[in-house]
Amino acid sequence: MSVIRKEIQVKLQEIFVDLFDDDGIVISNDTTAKDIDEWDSLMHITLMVTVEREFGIKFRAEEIGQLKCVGELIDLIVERKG
Amino acid sequence: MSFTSFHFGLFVIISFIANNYCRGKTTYGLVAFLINLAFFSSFFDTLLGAVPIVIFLITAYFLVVLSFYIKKPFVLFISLFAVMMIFSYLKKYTFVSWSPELPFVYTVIGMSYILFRVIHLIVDVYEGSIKDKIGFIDFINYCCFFLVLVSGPIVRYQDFSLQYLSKESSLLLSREDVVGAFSRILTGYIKIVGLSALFIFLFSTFNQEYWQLKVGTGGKVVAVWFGYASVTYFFHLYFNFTGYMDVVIGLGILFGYRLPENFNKPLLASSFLEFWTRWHITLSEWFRTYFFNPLVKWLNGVVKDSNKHVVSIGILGYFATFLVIGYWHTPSICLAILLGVGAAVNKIFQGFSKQIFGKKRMKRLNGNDFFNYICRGLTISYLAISIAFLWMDYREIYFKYSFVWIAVSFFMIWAVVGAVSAMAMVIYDKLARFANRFHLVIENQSLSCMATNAWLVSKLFIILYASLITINPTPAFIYMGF
Repeated sequence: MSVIRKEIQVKLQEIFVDLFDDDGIVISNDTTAKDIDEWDSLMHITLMVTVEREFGIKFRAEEIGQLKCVGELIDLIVERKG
Repeated sequence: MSFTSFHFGLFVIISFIANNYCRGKTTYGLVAFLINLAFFSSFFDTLLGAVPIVIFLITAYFLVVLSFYIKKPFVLFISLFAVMMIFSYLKKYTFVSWSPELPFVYTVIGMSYILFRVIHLIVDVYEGSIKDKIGFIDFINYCCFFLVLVSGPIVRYQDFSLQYLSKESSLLLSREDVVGAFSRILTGYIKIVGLSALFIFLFSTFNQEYWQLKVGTGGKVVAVWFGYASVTYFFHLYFNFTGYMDVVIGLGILFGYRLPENFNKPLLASSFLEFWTRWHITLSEWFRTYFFNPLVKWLNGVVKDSNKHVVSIGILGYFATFLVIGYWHTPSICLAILLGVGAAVNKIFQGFSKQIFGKKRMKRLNGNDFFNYICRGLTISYLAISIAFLWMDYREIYFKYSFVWIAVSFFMIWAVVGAVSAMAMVIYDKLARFANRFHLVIENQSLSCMATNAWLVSKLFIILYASLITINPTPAFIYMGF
């Protein structure tokens, strides 16, 4: 895993723990909404808004709807950060 | 053209041959265009009756093309506003009733679903999610694809175009594909001709009894007939919609399209919000992407310390989204309010129960079978009562009974129907498990060709038998009206 991806994952880990209010969450590239009980439509969009704020980026409507796992989210952040 | 008519069967055979033997992008596009046009035009009695929807499509195409060239937020806003206003005007929504009506009769078949596709195109083109230019023929083939024209599923353009463009080469269908497709189509027709017809017959009987009740009839009697009618209508809707989707998805395979599933066992949903992730899935996804998400994003922008108000923002977002979904289904405001309130109360309950019982205890409770069956019963019951406003006029109840009576009886019926549904769910689960085992054996690839054929033929016989004993005409596709 590249350094940039690792840094993004660490930051995402903090966001997840904070947002889902659960210290036990450990994210990986394969983590999906099924792995976290409270990850519903509302938490998904709230997560996206928080990521947009924290990383200073913007997602498209279609991207938000099509994200399947944390790995894809990291790919998208890497792509958007250029 | 009804999916259960002889004409449709003939139409499918002719278009299947044309669809599967014409190759090359331009030829395929033109052939698909003619097939879609032939299906589309079967719904119009006069040429004039088709003019409004054709103007709508041409305007929509112009706005989609505009989104490729002008990336300004106000142009996006005006484009979306324009298509929604034309749609509302042609669909005669009450909030535009002040405007003069067109002086001739016209048809708006499939217009809601065309609107969903057009909004998706305008937004995704504007945001750059769709980069390739869209020609007029391809636009019409996407928006008016005959299999999904009247009621979805709502396919994303990105997924559709990949499959549509792949038609340049020969279409290869395996034996499993063909058998699976036919099996699915036959299952669909069993649901339409058999189960949906049975439930609409029961519903008509109960509904007749319900409306014949005089003012002053005991509350219990009214509640019983209303309960019967609402539950049978719900199951009629369920089998009707899933049956037609089975036919559409099965035919899709034969035409070389993998259409998205629109249902995922909605009777297993243990909450209102979960139900909508299992029922009419592509509609829910569309509303989530183009209504709920932008609304919640906007609320996050305007509310201070929004991270501390996630649940409150969610309640507002869900309420507004389901209010619109309800209003889209029928102009009766009752359904809209009941759906909006159902979603909001579901979210409030989730928040409260987590605070009161704690996450771990709630997780244990959610895993409890008894609790789960009660939740499933109450979910189906609430939805059955809500969608009663598709067949019942709220003014009738209002004039017949007092508000307090309505409120009390609502909770009474909800609880009773919920409890009965919960018990029915236990039987449903046992039957579903048995059916699944049976299905696995039948559909097993290792079975001989003869056994598979026997299975298909037996399905065909069920359809024929159901058609023979059905007193009422085959139920039309309910969602065609939306």
